[in-house]
Amino acid sequence: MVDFEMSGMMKQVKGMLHGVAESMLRPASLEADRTGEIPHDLLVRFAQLQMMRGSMAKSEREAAETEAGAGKKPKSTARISAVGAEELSWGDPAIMLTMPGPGLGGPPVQIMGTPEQKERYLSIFSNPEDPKWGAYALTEPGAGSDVAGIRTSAVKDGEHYILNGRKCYITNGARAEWNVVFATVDPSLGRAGHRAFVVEKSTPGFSVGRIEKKMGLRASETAELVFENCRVHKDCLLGGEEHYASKEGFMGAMKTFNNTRPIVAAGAIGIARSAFEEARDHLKSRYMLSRPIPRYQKMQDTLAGMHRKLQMGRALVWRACWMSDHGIPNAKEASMSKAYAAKAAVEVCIDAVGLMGADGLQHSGRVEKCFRDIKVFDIFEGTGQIQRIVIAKRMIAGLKGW
Amino acid sequence: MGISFELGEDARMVQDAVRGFAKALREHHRDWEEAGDVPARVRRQFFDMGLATASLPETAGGMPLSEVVVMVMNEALGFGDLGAAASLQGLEAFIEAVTHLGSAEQQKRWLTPLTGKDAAETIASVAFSEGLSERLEGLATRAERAGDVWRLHGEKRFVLGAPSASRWVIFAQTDPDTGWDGVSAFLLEGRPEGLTVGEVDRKLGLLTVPSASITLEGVEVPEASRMPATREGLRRFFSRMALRNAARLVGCMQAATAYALDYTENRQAFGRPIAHFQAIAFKLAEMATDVEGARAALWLAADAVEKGKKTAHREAAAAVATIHDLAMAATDDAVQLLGGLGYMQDAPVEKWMRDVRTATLCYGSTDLWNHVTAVESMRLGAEVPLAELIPVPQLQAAYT
Repeated sequence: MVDFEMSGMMKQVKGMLHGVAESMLRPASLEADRTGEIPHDLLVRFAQLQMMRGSMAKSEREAAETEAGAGKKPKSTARISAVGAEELSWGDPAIMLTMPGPGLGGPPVQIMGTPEQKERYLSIFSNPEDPKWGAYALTEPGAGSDVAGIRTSAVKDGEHYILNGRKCYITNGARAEWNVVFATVDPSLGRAGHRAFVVEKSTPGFSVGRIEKKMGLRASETAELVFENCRVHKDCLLGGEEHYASKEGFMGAMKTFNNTRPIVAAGAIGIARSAFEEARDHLKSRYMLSRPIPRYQKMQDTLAGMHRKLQMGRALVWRACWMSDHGIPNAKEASMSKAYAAKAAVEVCIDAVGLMGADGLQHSGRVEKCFRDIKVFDIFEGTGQIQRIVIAKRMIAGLKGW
Repeated sequence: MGISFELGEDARMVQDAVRGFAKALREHHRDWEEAGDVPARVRRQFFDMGLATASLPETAGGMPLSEVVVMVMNEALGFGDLGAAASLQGLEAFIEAVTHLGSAEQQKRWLTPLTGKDAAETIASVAFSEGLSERLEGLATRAERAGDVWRLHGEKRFVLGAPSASRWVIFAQTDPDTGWDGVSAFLLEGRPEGLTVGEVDRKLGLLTVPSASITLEGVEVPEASRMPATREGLRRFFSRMALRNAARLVGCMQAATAYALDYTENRQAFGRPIAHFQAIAFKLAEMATDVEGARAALWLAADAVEKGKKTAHREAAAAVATIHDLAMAATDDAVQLLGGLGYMQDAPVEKWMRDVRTATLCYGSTDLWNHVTAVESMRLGAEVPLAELIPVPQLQAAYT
């Protein structure tokens, strides 16, 4: 039956992560944004909590599986992740993105890696006292939305590959122990020529270029990576050469978008909710309910519109996640959730600053930071326009080749 | 357990049945608009499916469907044709008013007859709207008490179903000094003396729902037929009616989007289907996203109302306001996407645009629902108090 009541596990995760957001992330938030640095001990505590939550989730999964038989009970991972992502980004989205762990590099290693590669690359995150990161390097100065246009080259040389090129806008790219780097063995093959390599930071020929200065998410590291005759052993090719013999091998990694897009959308909603709450509380305290309505009706209208966008955005995210948890193909719905929620979240943050007037502009407040943080959510993980193309392709007959 | 969009067997059966029935609505939408009503045999057919009285309470011998299933049913009807759907659901307002404002006695007396076969012909009206009033709060139509009887004086406008109504709920001010706290709803049968129905309204849309103004000149109603309209009762009545209306609007959004998609996939210009031009494709993608989002928000609100959650009024108001705006945009966009043909009565889209504009004024304007959303948002404060969430004591220590 249709239900919008969160499960016990979801409520638990929400409660816990809301507490983390409130007591750990928010106190550090404005200062981290100002300096671009996150205190080390905060990252350690964050990693410790992540470990604890990871083992909680694992034992919950195991319990569910023994109870219902493996594969029988649908998982709730996506829905739980959405609820969690909303709370953490409500706390601070930049610190959330800097959470120690394999990050966006995790899924390709999980999906494409050999057992030996998984062990080699994923076992390094087991000590929260010594936070480490992984990262995912796809975007280049000349190729963002047009993934097929990447030009970082990979040339076979005996037991090695030689990489040459530049990656940009890589989250945690500089601090990462390793980056999953997408290179091409032959540009004329388009996506069929793409290969994913895990490049460790110590590899000769790999260096970090600039660290970007951004509109928002300033505490999150965004790096340029440079490959100059960077020599990597073929063991670093995720999945080995056999993996790329079949087209399915590479496309597997692309399917993770259907899982990640709704979670990014949930993050956008968290930021927007934070802004909404500031504006609502501001209106509540400045414009008491008993004052004559006509003077503030336009502001109430705006506030209402903000709640409506949060409601619809969240409902779309939950729908995409519910489909994901039930193994229902959800590429269209995943893109719908991101296309709608990210744009709506930007509008909510813009309105929040407006409703608060001069107070909305102050660096001492959260709302101006929300305005700066949110915009990128309609750009990364597939721009809003790309999302619309994904939706359109799944709706309109005969639409190919975009 | 937990967030779910799974309809379930029962809901799907209702959905399938109504979808099949609703095909006729689409087939005859122009004829019925011209006739100004839905044919009696179609109304009877709908009634015999048990759906016209889907929300009849147990006190009247009903087995009310859950709110989400009511939404699903109304969406399927609205998909066929919004005008016909609104007409077929004429009993809804009467049932909801008596259920949420009336005593168990009154529910039994006035609603039980609706379970009978001959009730298929019954038309019931709920009269609330009035012209411009000098009063800031409360109604201009007044009720004066004389012993055990009340006398109603005033005028009501835009009363849906009035031309053929044989059952009435009429809202009037019983205490002139207490604004919305002094309102009651009166139950009437037939055409009592003093109640005059005006000429059938010539409206922009929803022409299959005949409506008219009514004048009340000393219409007598016994005290036993008075339902005190508390603020909470009024809130419940209006939110539930608005949600049902909104469900039909979602169906219409879906219809408009599907119609525009089909047209633009086939219409050729500049050497290709116009759906293949990016501006059109993106617009279609947004329309489809809006349908999914509107439906999800609607179900979220219906679920909150069903469960009697604290947030129910806010979620209902928000979903309704959203759907009003999105349905208006969807039908407007559908006309636009069809170009010149969209403007002609050969295609249904111009009718749906007129129907939506009219339907969004039936149970509270968008401005009103925005107002309720804002007021409830401010009243409710924080999302859900953390105390209501399951505490994790062993973890609390880790982060405090």
